[in-house]
Amino acid sequence: MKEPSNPSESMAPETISDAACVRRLQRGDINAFEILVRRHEKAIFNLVYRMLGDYDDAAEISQEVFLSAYRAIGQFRGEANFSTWLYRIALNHATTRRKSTNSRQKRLVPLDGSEMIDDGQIGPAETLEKKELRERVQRALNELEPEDATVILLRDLQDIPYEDVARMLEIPVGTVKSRLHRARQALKARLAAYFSAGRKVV
Amino acid sequence: MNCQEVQLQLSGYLEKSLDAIRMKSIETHLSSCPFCRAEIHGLSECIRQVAELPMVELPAGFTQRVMAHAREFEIEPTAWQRLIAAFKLTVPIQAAAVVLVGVLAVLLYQKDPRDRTVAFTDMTSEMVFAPSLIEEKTNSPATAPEPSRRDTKRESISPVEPAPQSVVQPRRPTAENIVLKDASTAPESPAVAKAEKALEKSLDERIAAPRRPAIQAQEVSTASESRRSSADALGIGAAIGALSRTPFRGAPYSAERSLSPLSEPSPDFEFVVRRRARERIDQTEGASGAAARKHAEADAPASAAFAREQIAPLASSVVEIRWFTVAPEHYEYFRKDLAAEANIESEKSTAAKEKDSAVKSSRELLIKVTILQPER
Repeated sequence: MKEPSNPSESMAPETISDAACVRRLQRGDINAFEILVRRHEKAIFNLVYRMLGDYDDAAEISQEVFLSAYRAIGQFRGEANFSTWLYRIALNHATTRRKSTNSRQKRLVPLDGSEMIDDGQIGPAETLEKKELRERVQRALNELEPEDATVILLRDLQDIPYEDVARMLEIPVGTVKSRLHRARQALKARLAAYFSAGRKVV
Repeated sequence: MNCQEVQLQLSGYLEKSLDAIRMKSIETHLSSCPFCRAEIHGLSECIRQVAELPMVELPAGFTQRVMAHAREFEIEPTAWQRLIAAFKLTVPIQAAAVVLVGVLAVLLYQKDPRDRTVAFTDMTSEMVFAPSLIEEKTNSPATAPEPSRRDTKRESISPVEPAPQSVVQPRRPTAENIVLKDASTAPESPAVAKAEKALEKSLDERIAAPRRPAIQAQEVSTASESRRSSADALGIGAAIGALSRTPFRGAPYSAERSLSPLSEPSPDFEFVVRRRARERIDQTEGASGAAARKHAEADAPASAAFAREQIAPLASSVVEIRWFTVAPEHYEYFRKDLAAEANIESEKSTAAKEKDSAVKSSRELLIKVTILQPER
C-alpha cells in the first residue's frame, strides 16, 4: 500500500483501504476515522436496528459502537479485518442492550414507520401488506435468542460469508452452520402461523 | 436418506453448499416427501423474508455526531501497544520467551535443592527492579559514550555496594544473593552474553511491556548492560527503587541522574571514599537484608563463607564515581551517612564560595563521590 506524504488530502477516501485508515487513525489522524465511519455506518446501523427492532435505540447503540471502536483502536492489531472487528463490537453492544431491554420489559416491536422505503415502484396496498409482513418478521427476530437472531442477520440479511461470520462470533464455521440451521427453524416456527394462515406471501 | 437426515441438511441444500451427490439425494427425497417439501418451503420463505427486510436510512447527522464525540476523546494506546502495532513483534517476543525459559532453567538447576527454594525468594525481590532495568536499556543507544558517568547511573547499586559479580554464579549462597543481587557487573561467559543480546534486543523493542516473566533473565542480562546504559530519561520509579535500596534510605537526597553525559559539571563537594572490607559492609546493610542473610546463614553457613572468599577478589577491581544532589540543610546528614558506609579518604569543597551562596539561595548541592576499592 502506497503511503502518500499527506494522506488526508492526496487520496480520495474511497480508494484507501480500511487497514490504511486504521494505521493513520492509530497515528492520530482523525480524518481517517471519518472515512471508516462513513464506510461502515449503514451496515452497522442496519444490523443493530434489526437486532433491537427500535430505531432510536439503534441510533444510540450504533454511535456507541463507533466511539468504542475509536477509543479501542490502539488495541486493534490487524489480525482480523477492521470490519470484522467492528462487527464484533457492534454485536456485543447490541446483544447487551437487547438482553437488558428484554429483562426490563417485554417490549413490543414498534412499527416500522421510521423506515424510509426507497422503492418507488410499490403501490400503496402492496406496501401496506409488505409492511405488515416486515413487522411480523422483525417481531419474530426479536423473540429469538440473541445468538440465533445474530447468525440469521449476519448470513441472511447482510449476506456475510460463513468464514467471516465464524471470525466475528469467534466460533468454528461448522458451529455457525448448525446454529444457523437451528435459528432458521426457530424463526420458521414463529412465522409458521402467519404463513399457514393462507396469507399470500409476496 | 430419511427425513431426519434431510432436515439437517436443508439449510445447506438451500444455499447449494452441499456436494453434488448430497444435493441429488435430497432432491430425490423431496420429490417423494411432502413433509420435507413443506419444511423446505418454510425455510426458504424465512430466508427470503429476512433478506428482503429493507435497508433503513441512518438518522440525519449521525456521522457528524459520532465525529463530534470522537474529537472529545483522546485515543490512548499505551506506548508498547503503539510499538507492537508498528513492528508486529510477535516473533521477537516468542524468541525472548524461549531464551528466557532456557536461562531460567539453567539458573534453577545449577543450584542445589536447598538453594533452589530460596532462589524463588530472590526472584520476587528482584522483580521490583525489572522496569527500571528495562528502561535503562531503552535509553542506552542514545547515550553510549562516557563510561564513568554511566557507572554513576546504575540504578540499583548502593553507593558503597562492593563487589560486582555475576548473577549466574551457580554456587553462590543465598545470603550473598540478597546482599549483592544488583551488583552484577562481572564479565560473563560468551554463552550468557549471547542470550543477553537476544533478550536485550527484544526487550528494547518492547520497552516496558508488562511481561513480568522476563524478570529473572533480565537481571542476568543486566550484568553487562548496566554499564552501557545511561540515565537521561530514567523514570522516577527507577530512582525510588535505587534509593530504597541504598543505606541512604529515607534521606532527602538522591543520586543525580539528570546531568548531561557530555559535560561534567563542577561539584560543590568531592569525596574520595574507600569501601570497607566485605564483612564490614555486610553489617551496614539494610535490616531486611541482614535478617534474610542471618536466616540463610543459619541454613548454610559453610557455603556462605565459601562464596565470600570467591567474591572478594572480584570486588577489588571496581572504582565507581557517583553523583548526588543534596539540599544544603541536609548536607551534614549526607556526610554522616557516607562516613557510616565507607571510609572517607578525602573531602574537598571545590567551590566553597559557591557553596555559601548556594546555601543562601537554597540551591541543591552537587556532590561527587569517588568510591575506591577496599584495601586488602
